[in-house]
Amino acid sequence: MLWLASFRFYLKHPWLLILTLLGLASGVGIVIAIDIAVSAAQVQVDKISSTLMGQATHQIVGGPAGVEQSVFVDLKLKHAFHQASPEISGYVYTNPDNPITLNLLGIESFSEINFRSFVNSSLPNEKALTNFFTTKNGILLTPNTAKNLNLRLGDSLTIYIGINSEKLKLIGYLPNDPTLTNLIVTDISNAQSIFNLGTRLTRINLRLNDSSSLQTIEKILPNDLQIITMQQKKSGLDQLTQAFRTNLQAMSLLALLIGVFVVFTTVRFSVFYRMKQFGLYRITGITGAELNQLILGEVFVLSIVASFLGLAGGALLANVLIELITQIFSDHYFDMQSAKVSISYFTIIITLMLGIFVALLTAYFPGRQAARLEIINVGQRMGVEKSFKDFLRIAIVLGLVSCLSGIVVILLSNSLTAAFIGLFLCVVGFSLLLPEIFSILSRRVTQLHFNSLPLPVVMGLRDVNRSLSRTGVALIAMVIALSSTIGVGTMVSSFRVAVSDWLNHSLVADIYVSIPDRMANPATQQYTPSQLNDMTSLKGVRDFSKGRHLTINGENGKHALMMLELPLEGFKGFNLLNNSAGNLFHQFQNADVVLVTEPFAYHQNLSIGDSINLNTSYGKHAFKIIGIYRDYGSESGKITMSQSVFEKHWSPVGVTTVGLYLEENYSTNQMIQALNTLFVKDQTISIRSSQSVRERTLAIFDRTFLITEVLRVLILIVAIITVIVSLMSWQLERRRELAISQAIGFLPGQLQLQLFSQSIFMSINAFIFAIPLGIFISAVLVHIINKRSFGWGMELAIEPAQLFYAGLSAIVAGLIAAAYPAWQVKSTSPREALQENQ
Amino acid sequence: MSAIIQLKNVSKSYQEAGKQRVIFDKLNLDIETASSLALVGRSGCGKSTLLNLISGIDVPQSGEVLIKNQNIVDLDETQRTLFRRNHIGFVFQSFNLIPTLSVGENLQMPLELIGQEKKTNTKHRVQIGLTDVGLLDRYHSFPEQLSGGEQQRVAIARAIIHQPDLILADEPTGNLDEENSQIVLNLLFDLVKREQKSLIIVTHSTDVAALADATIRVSDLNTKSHA
Repeated sequence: MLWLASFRFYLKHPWLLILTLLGLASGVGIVIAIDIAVSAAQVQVDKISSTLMGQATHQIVGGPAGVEQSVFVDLKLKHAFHQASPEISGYVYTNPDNPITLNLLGIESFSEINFRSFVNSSLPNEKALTNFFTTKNGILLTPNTAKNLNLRLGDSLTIYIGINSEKLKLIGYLPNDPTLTNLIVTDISNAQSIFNLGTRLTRINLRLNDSSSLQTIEKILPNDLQIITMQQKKSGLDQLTQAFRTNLQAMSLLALLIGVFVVFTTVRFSVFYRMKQFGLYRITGITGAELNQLILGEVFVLSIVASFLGLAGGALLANVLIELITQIFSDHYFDMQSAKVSISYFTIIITLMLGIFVALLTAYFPGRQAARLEIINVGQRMGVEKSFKDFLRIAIVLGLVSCLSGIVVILLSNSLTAAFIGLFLCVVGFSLLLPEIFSILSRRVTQLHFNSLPLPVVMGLRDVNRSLSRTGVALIAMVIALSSTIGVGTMVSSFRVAVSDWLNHSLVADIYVSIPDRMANPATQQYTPSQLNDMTSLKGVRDFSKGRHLTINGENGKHALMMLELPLEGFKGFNLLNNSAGNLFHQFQNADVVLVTEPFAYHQNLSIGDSINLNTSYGKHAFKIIGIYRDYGSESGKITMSQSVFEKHWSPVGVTTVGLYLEENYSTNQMIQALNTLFVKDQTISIRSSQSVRERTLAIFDRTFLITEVLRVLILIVAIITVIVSLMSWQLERRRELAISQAIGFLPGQLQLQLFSQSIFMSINAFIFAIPLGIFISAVLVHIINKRSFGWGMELAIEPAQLFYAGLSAIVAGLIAAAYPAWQVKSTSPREALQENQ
Repeated sequence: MSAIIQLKNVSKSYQEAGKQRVIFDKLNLDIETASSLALVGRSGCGKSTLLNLISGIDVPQSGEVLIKNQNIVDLDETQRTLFRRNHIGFVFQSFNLIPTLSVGENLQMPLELIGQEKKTNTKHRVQIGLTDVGLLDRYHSFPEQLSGGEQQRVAIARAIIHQPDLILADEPTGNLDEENSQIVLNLLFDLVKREQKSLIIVTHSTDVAALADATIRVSDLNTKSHA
């Protein structure tokens, strides 16, 4: 019977039921959506890695010039090591008018059979194998790729490498695996010819089963080669996806926390709305424990429904998020196809467990409160408020302890997770202090301004304090949401300002002419001396810089290196920390020194004056760090070395980027036209003004943080729902009181003024409290979390627009929350309201 | 006749605005089985407090409250609740029917609570209960569809249906007009007499008090022992 009564109660109050389900479902849904989306992306990354890396456990890699073929031959013939496979990898493009970039992979088919399963299935028999290594420029493509290129078996495909072109012939198909899209597989001799590599390889893949084989091979390798594990190769990307996942999950947990407030508020409302009924239960013989069980049972059923709704909503949201994540990876790392969102049984179980656990935990306190409330106080709001005020005293202590603990955790630990935990403790701690602060403030306001405010407003404000058990919860939820909005928004805007400043500072040249890194195959793609001369002697060019991005081997694995030759003017573009660029220029040009980026120094734990050991063509050599500079180009960071110093220690590799400094008032557009004419046949070359580079970079930045914006908006919506539920339920509880006011002579308009003034007062207070907390959150995000995630340092830039946005959201929430009760005041007769709950 | 309720040296006071307000000081009171007792007195004299002490909703600072020789002060809160469930029926001034249960379901609830829903023909007992109060035709109606008098009649049926030893009625006619009050009171006293239950009724009205076997002026309770 009790269950039946509960069920019918929720049917009779559908808005309460809907809001409870919506609050929990939205919090759970956001958590699940992010988990599904990031997991799908991780699966996609893993799949791409494992498909392309195959069964290889290690790789032999060289410096910029790659690996000599003789190393592979020696391994097989001299040392009888057969678990090795040579490989050439690079990028080409088709159709200059509408270029499509393709990844060309050259393999040695006999060796490769033990490494990549898709090779086995593509060359299933001797005939296919023979055809593969005997056909000049014979290639394999996936059926989908062939279809996109309008190719059938036997057709020719013209590809371009710089200004050169080659004709390839489609002789077979790869498996139709999406991770193999836009991959061309050909015999290694074809690849060497296409990329003009002579006898060089990009790398040699190895399958090593024991450490003794590894040691043997390490001993016989030339000095400039290194063995890396596949895990090392993949770890950089794993770290990135992990940092990405941690940051997004933190936001999703925030949404869940706010969703918790919705559940808490609606459960409390449903309990207190039925307090008289529960009192009857207690009087007539239902124990406190039985009552608590009933309340928890109601919430359990609701949580199951809400969890399924959250799962459905989360799956839909995950589709949107995966598109955004895919775009981020494609912008920053490599082309990635959109992953498919799939929901496993495990995900369903986790969703259910999360929803049920959160709901029951949230309902525990109202249920316990209802069960423990002394029966003689049941039905008296006084009893409820007294109970809440007792809780407030404990809350103040808990709040202070939580804040202090959070600060200690943030400052004393080094991990990213600990930083988030510390931040969470501070947010929760501050929230616990809020109701008492708010209570003092609202009492003072009404004391100070009693004569200057209209009576309904004074009554409304006094009632806010009197109903702290309801208004306190709404306040906390809104403050958490608004402060998160301010915090995350300020972090993003600070970052954008930092990136923009960096671009303004470092893009010193007027025009950049570059071969994109992935098109710059080692020893093949670089500017020829005549191209360089043509560019730099164009009319209007007063000076130039040149450089190349490379990967070199160090003690701890591979490092990105930027090799540069540039004038002093260009060198001053480095935003050096703790030093002036002008002082170091001569040293940079001539001594065995390097500059490193801030993330590089952070991740490698290096400071100015430390040395870094790099594997040169002539063995290991130490390079002293003379400067650390701000750079937001990559989160792993890089080393910067002058070209003259580089060429002392490695074989010359040529340059792929040129920066042109124009004469004063010379037209950038005119120069770009001249360069386009110069490089008309080469589609790989990118010619951009510094303004264009700046705009493109900021566009990528905005796309990268689009996902953060989406989550921010969702969190705010969940918070607004919480506030609406809290304030609405509070107002509706007081229908009888409002009806009495009407009966004794208050006009509906005056009561509406009372309702709106309460809501707006609460909203304004929430906004005011949210500002310091929001700034604290942004400071932790900028100076601690961003640093630990990516190694980037930046200044905090508080934008008035962020505060305005938060304030406006608060006011809107307050207005919406009061709208329905205000409408009810006008539309319900006092007689009906007075008869309710009699 | 033996006493169903015995209060021995019961003292009860409340903290109000920093001061101790004594309601009862070493009260001794016996209430006989199968009898009706009216508690009268001005507002705030302790009528409801006495009712709360007898029902176990509240506990005295000292003394014993024996119901059927069971000292309910010795019981913990859960045990007192269970005791109430099995031995006491309530009729309130504000009827207090459960709004989301029908009339029939409101009567079914006490039977479910004492675990009798499977042992006996619950529906039949509910029908008998409603017949006794003249509302069998309202079995499927909800409380909001009933008048005040009808609701109170249902409440009386609910208070008796599980055969408690004691009925406690707190101003049962407080919200009713004269005609309905008379109907409700007649019904209450008739049922109590027929079922041989004990009834304690709190009232302001001397007319109502006159219907009971005995009347106690609560304000006098601290100066005399009653049996």
